[in-house]
Amino acid sequence: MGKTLSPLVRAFVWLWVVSNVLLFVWIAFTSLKSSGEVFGSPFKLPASPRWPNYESAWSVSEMGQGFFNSVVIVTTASVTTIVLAAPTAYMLTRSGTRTAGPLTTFFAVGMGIPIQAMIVPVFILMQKISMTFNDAFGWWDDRISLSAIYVATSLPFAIFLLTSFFRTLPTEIEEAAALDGAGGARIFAQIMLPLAQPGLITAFILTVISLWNETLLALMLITDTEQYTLPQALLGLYQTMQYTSNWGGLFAGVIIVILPIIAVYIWLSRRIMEGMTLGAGK
Amino acid sequence: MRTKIAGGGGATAAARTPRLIRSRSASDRSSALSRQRRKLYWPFVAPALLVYLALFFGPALAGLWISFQSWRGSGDQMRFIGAKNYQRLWDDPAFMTAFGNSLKILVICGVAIFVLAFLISAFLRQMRFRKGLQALLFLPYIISPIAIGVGLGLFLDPDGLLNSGLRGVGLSSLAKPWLAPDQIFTTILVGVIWVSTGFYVMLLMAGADRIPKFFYEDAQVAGATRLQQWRYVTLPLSWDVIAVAAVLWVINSLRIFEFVYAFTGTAGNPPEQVRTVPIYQFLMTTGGKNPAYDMGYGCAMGVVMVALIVILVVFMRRVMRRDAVTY
Repeated sequence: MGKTLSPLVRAFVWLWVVSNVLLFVWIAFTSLKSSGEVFGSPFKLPASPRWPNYESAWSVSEMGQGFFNSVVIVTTASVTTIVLAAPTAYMLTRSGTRTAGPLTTFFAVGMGIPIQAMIVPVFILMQKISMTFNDAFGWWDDRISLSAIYVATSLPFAIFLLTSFFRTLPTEIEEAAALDGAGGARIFAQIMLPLAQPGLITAFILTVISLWNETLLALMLITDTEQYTLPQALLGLYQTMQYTSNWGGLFAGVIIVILPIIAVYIWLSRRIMEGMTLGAGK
Repeated sequence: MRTKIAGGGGATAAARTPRLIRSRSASDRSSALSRQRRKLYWPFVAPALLVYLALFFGPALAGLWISFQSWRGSGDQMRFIGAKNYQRLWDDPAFMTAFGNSLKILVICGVAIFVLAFLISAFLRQMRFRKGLQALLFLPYIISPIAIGVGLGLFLDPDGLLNSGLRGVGLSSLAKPWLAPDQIFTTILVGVIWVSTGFYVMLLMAGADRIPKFFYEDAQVAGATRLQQWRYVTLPLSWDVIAVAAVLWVINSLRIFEFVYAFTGTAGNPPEQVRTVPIYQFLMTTGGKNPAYDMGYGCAMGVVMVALIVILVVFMRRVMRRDAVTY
């Protein structure tokens, strides 16, 4: 049975992978076509690449503003997540304190709780914060609310990943440093953090990828089009497409959303795949 | 190993008798370190814990509380109505459809994904360009579901690439209105399978990678076919990874929102027959054309989802429990 199955599965895998590649190539080519070409000659290369599609997506459809918002929100939230998660994970694995075990579990439970369980209270809470600040200082930015929620939702996985990572690091170096009189904070900052760098980068990249694609919380918390994240801006562009039929511009928008992730993936695919499977290996 | 034991022992001893330890600290090198760590324990852990409690766990508990209230959000008087929201879920055909759809995704896509992932991971190991193939299978999983939904929208359009391709090669009978109301949920099921399978292939391969090579060499010497090798070596020895993958699928599949929303949410609200629980909750609270702001009701849906996840995960852990195979 394996004899007949093997070539079938091999062919199937190749077909699947080639279709994946072709789909992305098709999206890229479509983004450079005029609307007439999109339906008129769907299989042909663009007659002459229409770069203005990108210009229109970027500035007219405000994908540029969305790109900027997403970069700021995702970077802030991811950096904060790692800054909070790294010392926590270090202490949870190394302190030997009685509460460390239960707290590790407590954080891990968060990976099983869908955001649907807390999304309504979060919405109310953020509404309250926004109103309070508006009353007191006449100013609030929902992008801060969104970043804060992103940190909270990213913490469980980041802590989980980093605790598994810190567990693999040797204890001898720390002991030697302590013997030399280094304090706990110094050992963490100057010895453990550099040692943990690969784990920190993996956790950071995975947080960035999931937040870059997140849409539900953004849809709920951000109402001002100026503050839209990139997926929101793309949805907005898709909606206006119903009237403009500018398919090339829409696909330029799709490319703007996916290109950064594909670039990161090409650069760091091994690390991303290893990080995402780490959870299952435990 | 010795130092590790000393460290652990020092930690507990120091908790009870700090003074005694201090007088011996010259001889016990790791106690100084563990004392240092203990002093910093709460300063290091507290910030993350506070954020997690205030913006994740606290709201989840608040959600449980609000699910017993009738409430339209800030400015509205909260009214305790007991389990009425849950009763309403039970009697609401729209919720039942959404719940059924979520379960369909869970079961139908789940079976398909795991069958495909088992097959692919069993043969991918011996294929050329294995790493590249694996990376490309996985790629859709990390691409924005909104972008994929938009792209597939045109691909599956009545006059889109797929249909014109099928017509072009003389298979016009296969061309379908893929996004028509009675067809779209099937399309979404296939789409979910396409997007997710690569991730589970990767998990299963990672599990199989940890199995020492000599098991396979032994099996080959004994004349086992590739399928038999998979059945008698890979499957039992990566069983724990498979169990974790199944749990991850339960959690991930029930919260599918973006993928369905991108397919259907741009022209008004997603139609009832494709809604999942997260989409219905979104529409009943703050989302959609005319948000319903039915906060108590929306929270009840969140609680039902958590309950379902807990029940399924406990159930699967029971069913999939095997005596651990150590190697």
